[in-house]
Amino acid sequence: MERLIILRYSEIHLKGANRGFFERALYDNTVRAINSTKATVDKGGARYIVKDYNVVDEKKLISKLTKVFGFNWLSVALCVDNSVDSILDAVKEFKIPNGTFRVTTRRADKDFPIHSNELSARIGEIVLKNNPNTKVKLENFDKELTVDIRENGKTYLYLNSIKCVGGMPTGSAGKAICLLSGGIDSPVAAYKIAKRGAKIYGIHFHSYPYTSERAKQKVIDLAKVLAQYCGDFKLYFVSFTKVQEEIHKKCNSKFMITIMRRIMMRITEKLAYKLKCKAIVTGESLGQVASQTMEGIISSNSVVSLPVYRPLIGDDKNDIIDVAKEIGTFDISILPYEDCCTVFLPRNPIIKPRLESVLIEESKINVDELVKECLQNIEIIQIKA
Amino acid sequence: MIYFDNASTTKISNLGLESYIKASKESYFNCSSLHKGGLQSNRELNKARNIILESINAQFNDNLIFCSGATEANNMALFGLTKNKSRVLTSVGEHPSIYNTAKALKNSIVDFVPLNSQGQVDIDKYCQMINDNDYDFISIMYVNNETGAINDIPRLVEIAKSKNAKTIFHSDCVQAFGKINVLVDNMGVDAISLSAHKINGPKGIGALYLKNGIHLNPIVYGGGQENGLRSGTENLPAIVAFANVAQDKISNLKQNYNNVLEIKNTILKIFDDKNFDYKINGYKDGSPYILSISLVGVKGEVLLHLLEMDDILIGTGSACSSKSSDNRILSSMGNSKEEVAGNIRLSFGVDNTKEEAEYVANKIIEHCSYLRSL
Repeated sequence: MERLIILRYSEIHLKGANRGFFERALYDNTVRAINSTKATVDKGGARYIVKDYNVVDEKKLISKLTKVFGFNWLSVALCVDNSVDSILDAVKEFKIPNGTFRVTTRRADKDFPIHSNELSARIGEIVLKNNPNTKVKLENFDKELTVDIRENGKTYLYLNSIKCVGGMPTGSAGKAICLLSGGIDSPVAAYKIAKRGAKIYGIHFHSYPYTSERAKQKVIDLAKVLAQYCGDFKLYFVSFTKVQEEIHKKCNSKFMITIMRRIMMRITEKLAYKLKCKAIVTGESLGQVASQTMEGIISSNSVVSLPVYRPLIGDDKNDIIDVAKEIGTFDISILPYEDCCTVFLPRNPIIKPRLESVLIEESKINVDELVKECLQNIEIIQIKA
Repeated sequence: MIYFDNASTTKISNLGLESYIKASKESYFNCSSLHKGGLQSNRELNKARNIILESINAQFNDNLIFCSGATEANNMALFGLTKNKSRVLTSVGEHPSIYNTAKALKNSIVDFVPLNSQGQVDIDKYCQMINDNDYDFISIMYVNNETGAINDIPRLVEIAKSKNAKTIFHSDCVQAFGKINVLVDNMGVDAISLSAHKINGPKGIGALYLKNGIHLNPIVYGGGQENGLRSGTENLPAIVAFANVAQDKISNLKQNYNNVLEIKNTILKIFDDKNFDYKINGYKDGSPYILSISLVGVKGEVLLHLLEMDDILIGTGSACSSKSSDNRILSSMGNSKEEVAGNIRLSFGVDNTKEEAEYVANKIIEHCSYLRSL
């Protein structure tokens, strides 16, 4: 009798001829997710089986595997040979909590001597005997004990299924670069795009000494949380101090944020091309702050030709916060260290910047030179899950 | 590196470190053990206790309870010296370990007396509150950790006790002990909190002084150490080190005071000579160990990082609360938002020199001129 973890994907089912590509990506990501343990992965159809692990590592494995994009559900199962006695013995290992239950038998191995319903009934009797405060209920039950008799000669028994994050395997959709500010929104945006299969890179603009080392550490800590889902990735730190000082000195302060965003987008796109990324990801949500108006977005969009993905554009702040809490970035995001946008924040930023006015203001600084300088002074940090 | 953040913590002195190591090696026994090792440790413990009690002019039958630090001592005082439905008075200027703990007293009514513009407890408001209410417990700090403002504790005690002799008066003396005279008999207090790491002692050790006859309900239960008032195996190496550094500080109190006063005055003189635009939070004659200034047009945190690039470490407000954007103490003193944002705190220690003060003062002026020119 062996303990193992069964994982099931869902959306990959919809794929046709290229399904193998997604399955291989999911397999590779699963191997990476469990590489700190002795566990191994087997792939069989839409299921992946993680086994050969030390039982003390089981919780850690569950925690890691539920965060692998591409899986929908996982179950901790007991595995026995396809024999009635072995199956009935294994059933005794399950402690069913007080309440109702049902037994579901799936008999893919048609040579198995007992029919599904009959086996379910016999298993039910054992459960009732060993767990006196339980009752059989075939619909609206509390717990379901599944007995899966496979053609490979193995039977898997499991009680509960645990929801995984879903999505598509990391790396299956190409590469994208995400602007990470250290706030609540951008990690959620990065998470959402990574969840759809993008391999992500992070870029953060800092303004030391106007921002602190702690603000930088905060972004690293956020990236580490993201890496638990999307695997290791590179985070690019760009010193933005000189750009901010130049804009502050030479441009109308109302345009500070607009021009900053445009320069950030230019730098990000140049880096994106170098990294062969096919998209830029931002955490903008329409109307949330002064720079996230339609006019503000036109202004920042107009300096790049790569697509800009804004997965939060139609989300309310509370919805974004809910996801941030769910994925574990919220508590880090709300630490009060100033990020690069707040230091030179003008009292009255322009809410609906007209592109012509922005261009006039922007012409007062040497944008190309500033972009070039920023790109020459990038610090790269490898983020590990 | 120049370290001007001694009010948040200090570097342990050689005396403190050596005492700690010696006690760790030679008196590692549990003070409660019945064998001779335990007896030896217990003697060391009582010796350390007496050294500290003597250093604050306590009576022979007063009590000193060692604990993990001043935060715990303040918690012990507030939770252990108040009863259900106690009427409690403290000030807006207290350290978070008093202020937030007082707010957590669920079954007591807690009032907060405001500060005057110099950062001391507003004496008129204090008198009025004492007059209007019958307080069971009062806690007012001696030296403010952010501004260095000194409260007139003997006077505050006298006002409180003349209204109600049974009022228990506690004072958080963390920024005063070992720096200015903390003499419990002159102060008239019933309880004070002390900490070792603010006076070049080890971290993780502090004490609550209790005048004889003051009954404390323990907040930590267990093996009954410290007369049952604070259970847990005594941290003897830290206690011995605490006592030794305290003794050293008291012996050199005057000299150390004059040294840091010279440092503070050097900085202020350079500021004044160069017509530098600054505002002292508190007042010139507060504790010389702390200099809190507001620099309008500058963000304290940005200046902190610019100085950090010159290897100068300073603070902005209290390190324990500098993560929050507002500042309760500076606001209570009537400072504007801009003055609060432009606040920095320089706090000095025995290792600092006049040359360091000159260098730092000039660097502050240089960086502020740059920041103000932006």
